[in-house]
Amino acid sequence: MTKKILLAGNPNTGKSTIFNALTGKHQHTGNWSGKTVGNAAGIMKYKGKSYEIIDLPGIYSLEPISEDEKRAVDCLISGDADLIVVVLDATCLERNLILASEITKMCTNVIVCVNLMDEAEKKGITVDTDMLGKMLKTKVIPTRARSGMGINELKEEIYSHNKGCGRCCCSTECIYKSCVLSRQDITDNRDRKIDSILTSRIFGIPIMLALLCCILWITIWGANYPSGILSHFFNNIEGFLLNYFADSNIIIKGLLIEGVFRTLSWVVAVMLPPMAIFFPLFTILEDLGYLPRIAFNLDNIFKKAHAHSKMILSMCMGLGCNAAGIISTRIIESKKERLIAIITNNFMPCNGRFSSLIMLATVFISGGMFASIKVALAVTAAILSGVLITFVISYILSVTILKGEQSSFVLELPPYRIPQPMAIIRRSIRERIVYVLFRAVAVAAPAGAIIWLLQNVTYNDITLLTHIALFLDPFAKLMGLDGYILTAFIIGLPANEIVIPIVLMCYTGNSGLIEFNSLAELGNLLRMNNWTYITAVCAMIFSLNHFPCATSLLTIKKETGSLKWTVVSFLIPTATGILLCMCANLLLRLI
Amino acid sequence: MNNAISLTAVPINTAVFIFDIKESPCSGRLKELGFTKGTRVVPLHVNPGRSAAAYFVRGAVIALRNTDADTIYVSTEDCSHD
Repeated sequence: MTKKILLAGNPNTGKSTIFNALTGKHQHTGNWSGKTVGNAAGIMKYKGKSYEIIDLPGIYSLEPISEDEKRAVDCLISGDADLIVVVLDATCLERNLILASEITKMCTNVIVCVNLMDEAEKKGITVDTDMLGKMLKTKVIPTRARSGMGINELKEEIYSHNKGCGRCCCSTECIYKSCVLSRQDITDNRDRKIDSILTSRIFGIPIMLALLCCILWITIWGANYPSGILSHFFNNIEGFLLNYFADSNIIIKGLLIEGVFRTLSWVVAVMLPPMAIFFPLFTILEDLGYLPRIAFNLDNIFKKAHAHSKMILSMCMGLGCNAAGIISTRIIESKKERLIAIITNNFMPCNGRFSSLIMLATVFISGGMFASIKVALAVTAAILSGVLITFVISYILSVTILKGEQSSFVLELPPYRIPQPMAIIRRSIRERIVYVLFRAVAVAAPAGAIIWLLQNVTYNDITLLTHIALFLDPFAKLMGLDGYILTAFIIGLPANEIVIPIVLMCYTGNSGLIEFNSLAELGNLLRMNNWTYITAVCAMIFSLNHFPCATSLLTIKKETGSLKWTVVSFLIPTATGILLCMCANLLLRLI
Repeated sequence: MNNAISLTAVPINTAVFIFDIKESPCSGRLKELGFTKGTRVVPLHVNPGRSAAAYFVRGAVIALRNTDADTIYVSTEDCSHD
C-alpha cells in the first residue's frame, strides 16, 4: 500500500526542491514566499516501496489566513497522512521552530528536515541537529536539497519510520537557544548591501525599470536570429510539401499545408523565440529573490490604488502566463483584494501577448540604429501602461463593486540566491518550448484550419473571412484597427499566441508564406496591408487590454467559483481596450 | 509602557525589543512571523515610497507597511522577563 507523506513548513524553506529531489518531478521552485499555492503530488519509490509525497504550500502556523494556507492546513489536520516531514530553514530556525513545535505538539508521526544547512554555515550559523531531535522528540535530518545532500538519509528515514515520536513540550525560545550554537545578530551583510541599492529611494524604481527594459531588449535582439532561421526552415518545408503534394486534392494542399501547417509555422517562427528567451531571463530574477523586492518598492503605489502589494507577485507571474498569475493570487489573504488581483491580472501581457507587442512595435520602429533598443523601450512602455491601468482599475473596483478595508502588507524578503543556470534552461525548455509547441498543435492547428476554410469558402463570390471582416470593419475602424485584426482577436480566444499569426494568415491569404530574416521584416507585410503607426499602436493597446484567453477564463471560474466574476473579468479589460483604442485613434488622427 | 515607542519611530540599524503588540487584523500574522513580546527587531531599510520598511526578526527579513508596524511597541531593553 502506498504511504502518504506530507511536506510541510514555512514558505520558502525549500519544500518544493526536496519534493523534486524525492520524486524526480519538476515542481516549480522560486526564491520567494508563496511560490507554491496548491498541493503537488508525486511518487517516491525506495527499496521496493512506494510513497505518495505531497508538497504543501508554505504556512506560518496552523491558523491559516490565505487560500493557499487553508489548503495546506486542511491537509495537515485531516489526519490521513502516514508521516509529516516538517522542512525547516536552517538560516531562520528561530522563526521556523514556531510552526515545527506546533506540529510536533499536535502530531506524533513527524520527522524534521533542516534544510539550507550550507547557507547557514556560510552565515556562521551552527545547528546541533542531534539536540534539536532530542528536544523536539523526533528524528531530525540535515539537508542541502539543491545539491542533494541528505536526501538519501531522508528517504531512508521515511522508509524506516514506523513508530510515533513523543510530543514536544519545550518552548521555541528554549529549543532555539539549546540547538543553535552560533547565530547571526543581523542579516547577511551582502544582502543588506544589495538591498541598499535595489530598494533605495533613489535607485530602487529606476533599476527595476532598467531591468525590465534590459530583459526585453535581450529578448527582442536575441529573437531575430532564431526567428529568421525558423522562418527559412518552415518556408523550405512548405515549398517541399506543396511540390510533393502538387497533384493532391484541396484538403491536403489547401487545408493541411496552407492552413494548418502554415499557421503552426507562424506560431513557432514568430512567437516561440521571444517566449523562449524571455522566460529564462525572468526566471533568473525570480530565483535571485528579486520579485518580493519589487512588491516592497511599489508598496506605496499599491496602497494608493487600494490594492494589495502582493498583487505585484501575481502580476509578475502573469507575465509568464495569466492563468498562472490568477492561481498565484491565492497568497492574497483578503477575498476582496484577491478578486481585484484576479480581475486585473489580464492587464499584464502574458508571454504570448508580449511576443505580439514586440511584433507590433516593429511596424513603426523600422530598422536603423538602435532599433531593438527602441522596440524594447516601446514594449516596456506598453507593459508599464498595463501596470498603470491595473492601478486605475483596482482603485475604481475598490471604491465601487469591491469596497472594503485595505488589508495589511506583510511580506518576507528572502535572502538573495545565485540562480542555477542549467536548472533554468531545463525548466525553460520544458515549460516554454514544449508548452508552446503543444499549444501550437492543440490550438493553432485547428485555428489554421478554420482560417483557411473562411478564406476559401465563398458566399456571393466573397470569402467568409471577408464577410466577417467587412461586418466588423466599421467598428474596428473606430478603434483604429481593421476587420481582419478584430477577427483575429476573436478567433484567438483560445490562446493569445495565435492572434498575430492569424492576422498574418489573413493578409497572406493564398500568396504563400513570406520568408523573413528578422521580426522587423514582418512589419513590411503589415504596412503593405495599410497599417500605419496608428494601427500598430491601437493593436498594441487592444492586445494589452482585451478579454482573457480561454484558459485564463476557465481558471478565473475555478478560482472564484463564480460565473459573475468570470463575466466581469471578461468585460472589464475588453471595455477598457475598446475605450482606450477609440481614444488613441481619435487623438493620434488629430495630431 | 513609559519608554515604549512605535516600531516605525526606531532609527535604521537600531536593535530594539518588542514590548507589546496592539490587537489589529494583522496581529495574528505578526505573531506567527515571530513578532512576539521580547523578540529583538532591527529596522534595516525603508522602501522608496516610505510606506513600508524591512525588519530583521528571528533570522528573517520581513517587510511591513508602516500602518502595521505602528501597532508594534518596542523598547531599547528586553522587558519580557520583567
